[in-house]
Amino acid sequence: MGLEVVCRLVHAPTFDEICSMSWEDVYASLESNELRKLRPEKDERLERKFDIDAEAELLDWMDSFNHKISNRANSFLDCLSGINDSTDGLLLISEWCSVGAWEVWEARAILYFENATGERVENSNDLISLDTWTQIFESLNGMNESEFSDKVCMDWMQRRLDLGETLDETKDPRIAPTFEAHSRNSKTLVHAVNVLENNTELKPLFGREYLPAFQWHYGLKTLGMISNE
Amino acid sequence: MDYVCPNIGLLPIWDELTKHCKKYEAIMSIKKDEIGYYRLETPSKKPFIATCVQKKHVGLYSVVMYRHPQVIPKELEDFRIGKSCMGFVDFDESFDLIPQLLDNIFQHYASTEKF
Repeated sequence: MGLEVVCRLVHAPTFDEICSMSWEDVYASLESNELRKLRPEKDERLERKFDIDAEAELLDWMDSFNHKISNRANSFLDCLSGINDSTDGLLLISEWCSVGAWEVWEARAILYFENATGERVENSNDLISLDTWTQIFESLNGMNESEFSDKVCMDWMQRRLDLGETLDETKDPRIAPTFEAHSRNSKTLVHAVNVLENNTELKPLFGREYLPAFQWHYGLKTLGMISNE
Repeated sequence: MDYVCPNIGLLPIWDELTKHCKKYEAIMSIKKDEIGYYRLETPSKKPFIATCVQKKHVGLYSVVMYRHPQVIPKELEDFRIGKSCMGFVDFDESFDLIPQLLDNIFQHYASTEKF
């Protein structure tokens, strides 16, 4: 299995609100499940952790840093300054504040991104660059999901033919499920773009599994920039 | 028409202003980078900031200064020569506030734009 590229749609007002709450209030409201009232409604077609799992991860992370926080009455964001790996906390908060995420293997993302932007993906860093994602949102905004999905699937089939690979389902049992996955992933990408464009309160956060949290892009900034403010 | 710098005597001031703008190249796209004329756009192709040598001053341009004048530090107000333009004719201690002005403009974009 490859690494997954992730584009998470974060509800910016909730993200800002939690970052401005005191460390101790965030902790207490997580423990008492009170924070659940703030969590935005999940988008049915995007991926998101269950409330209890997202809470547990955030609480575990806060537990491991509690001893380093000198004044827990300070805002969550203020408490992060001066802590190594503090942006991991912001990444967990972003999960809590998201309506969902589009997640796909890097190798597959190349197919979708090249079809969306019309440009070659030269290396894996292109998959998480601000330029690439800006182009994706520009080109897919308003596009019909099936139109993009057909384009992606046709390109995938052509690439297989060019490589001398079969398209006969009886010779390769993985063809049908792979086709289905490409169709579903490309449609969901268009869906995510349109959800983002139609909701002014959502902001994109994108990166990949195992990418250090401070390198994840949140709109024009990185999480590293936010934690240093 | 191509830009031709109309007053090379003002280039050191332009250079100083532009130096601070270049910090944002990692995020913004360069649309102009000629001697005396520099312009950055946001990833979504909105104008971010520009510096340009004019005949009698060096202009620093951002539409945010017009729409949201609160981004301008008070000490720089006197340098406004237009709705979205500041004009500089000499080095001044207020130059120290240029990074703050640029950061305020950037923060404005970051909080209002998805890209």
